[in-house]
Amino acid sequence: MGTLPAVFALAARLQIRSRKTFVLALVSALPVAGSMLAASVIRLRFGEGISTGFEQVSVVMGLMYMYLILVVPLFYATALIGDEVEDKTITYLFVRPVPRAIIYLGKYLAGVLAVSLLIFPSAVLSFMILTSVDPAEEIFPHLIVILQDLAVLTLGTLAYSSLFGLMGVALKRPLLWGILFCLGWESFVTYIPGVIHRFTIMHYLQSLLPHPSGQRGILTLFQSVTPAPTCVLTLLLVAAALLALSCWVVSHREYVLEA
Amino acid sequence: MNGVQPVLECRELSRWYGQVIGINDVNLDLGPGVTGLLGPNGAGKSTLMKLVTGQIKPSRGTVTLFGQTDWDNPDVMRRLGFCPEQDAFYEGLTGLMFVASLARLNGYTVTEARERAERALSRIELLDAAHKKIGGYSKGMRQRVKLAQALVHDPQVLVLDEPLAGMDPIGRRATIRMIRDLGASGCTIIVSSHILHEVEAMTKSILLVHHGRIVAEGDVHEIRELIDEHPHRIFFQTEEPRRLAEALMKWSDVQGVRLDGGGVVVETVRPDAFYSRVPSLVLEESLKIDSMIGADDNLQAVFDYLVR
Repeated sequence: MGTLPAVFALAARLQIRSRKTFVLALVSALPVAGSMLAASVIRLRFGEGISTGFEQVSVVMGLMYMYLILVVPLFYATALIGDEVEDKTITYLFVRPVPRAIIYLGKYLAGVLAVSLLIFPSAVLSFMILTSVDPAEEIFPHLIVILQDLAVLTLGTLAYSSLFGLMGVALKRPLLWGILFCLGWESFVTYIPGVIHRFTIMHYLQSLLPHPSGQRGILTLFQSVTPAPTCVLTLLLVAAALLALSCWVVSHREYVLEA
Repeated sequence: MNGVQPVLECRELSRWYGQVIGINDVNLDLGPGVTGLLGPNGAGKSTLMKLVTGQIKPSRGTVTLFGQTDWDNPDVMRRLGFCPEQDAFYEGLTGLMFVASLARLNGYTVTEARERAERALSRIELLDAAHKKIGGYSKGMRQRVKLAQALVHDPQVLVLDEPLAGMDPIGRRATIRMIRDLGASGCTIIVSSHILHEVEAMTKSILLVHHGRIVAEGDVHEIRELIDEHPHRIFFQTEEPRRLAEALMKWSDVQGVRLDGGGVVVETVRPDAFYSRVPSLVLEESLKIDSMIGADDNLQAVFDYLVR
């Protein structure tokens, strides 16, 4: 484990300076732009100082989080090893006296850091913009909400990065599978009545978020909420189990570089 | 190996990629010194090197370094340095950052890693460009920075896959000298090439690899005469092809010179003498040669002869 900080430092430097981060920074800025647009529309339509109520802000925030927490980890985590295999630079890491599992772990943590650096500012900025629409609404009481949001986003980042990371090391075309998973399983199954939604990560995140899900209508009638301690434990266990499985795959799988 | 435990042991080592044979039934013992791995492109040299460096697993047989299997084995990797063939880098890093970051993975502190990286870059005469991004390096500089990362932790075993590819004549000469010196100091070095004279300049001990098998091993002089019967082609990448061609045509051992795609292709029957004179020519005529690449067609002819 002594070399983990060195792997992390190298991976973080490479990921944060990558072209991918630049593109994902733009993607992460979309909620901020959306919040600004929403705030402008509200002001134009209803005039300054209109009381929007925190409930409405909350709905918008909930939707934005679902978008951020799926998209950003998807693009980072599916490529943790794949990018280096494609670029043929993985050789430099695999011939060092570092267990392959530690290499993966260092890259995973660097990915989590990169995701957090993109989605946290986006969440905080969006929150501030949306709450500023209504000057009658005091921000201070809601600060606890944004702190809770950031904690939930951290759990989501850990869990989704583990899941997409496993797809990245075990599957061919992991990005495609990841997109299908996001659009299919996580977006659809979450709202199916019964118990099947408990097999989605999104269910536990939504149960924790101090916002309405944003999915209005009859579907919400069938949604159940899992208690917070169960959610936190489940998300941490899922993240740890998938991470351990990814480490095992990387330790045993050959990555043959194409000539 | 005279009863001494060899550093590298391969036993019935085979590796297939689906239906394609990479290496087939290789038995090998290697100890300290430089061993040249010679074979045409696609012969199986890189596969053997990937097996030796624990990047891929054998389909059959075993490969051990210091008596241990090398797959995901930090104890072995600590004593191993590898210079891969592929021209792949973290392009956004400077040469110093690249080498120091990889040295950190060998367990050195930030300060130690930086000092070692500077020393390694100095050794391969790249310290002046240490703070320049690798993306802006020439082919020869990229080749040298690959060598620096392999040397940074003073490994006991050095595996070099085509280390001279694309180097300029002066860099080539310096690298050959360095490899020879490392071998003489007790390091176990395996160096691959498809050009005999390159290997010959580093060592007398060679392994000939062809179609995934070791077809001959021993002293380089035995195949030298066979090689010389076939003309050797060398491609020079240069901004002044006409001036270079003009200078080369004056040499008696040059059989033919032609301009080709912004460079010069030369045919010679005495490649070793030819190569030894190139650095002097470059200096005397102030020529700028970006790279010098030898073709392996003469070697291919020898392999065809050996396996007939």
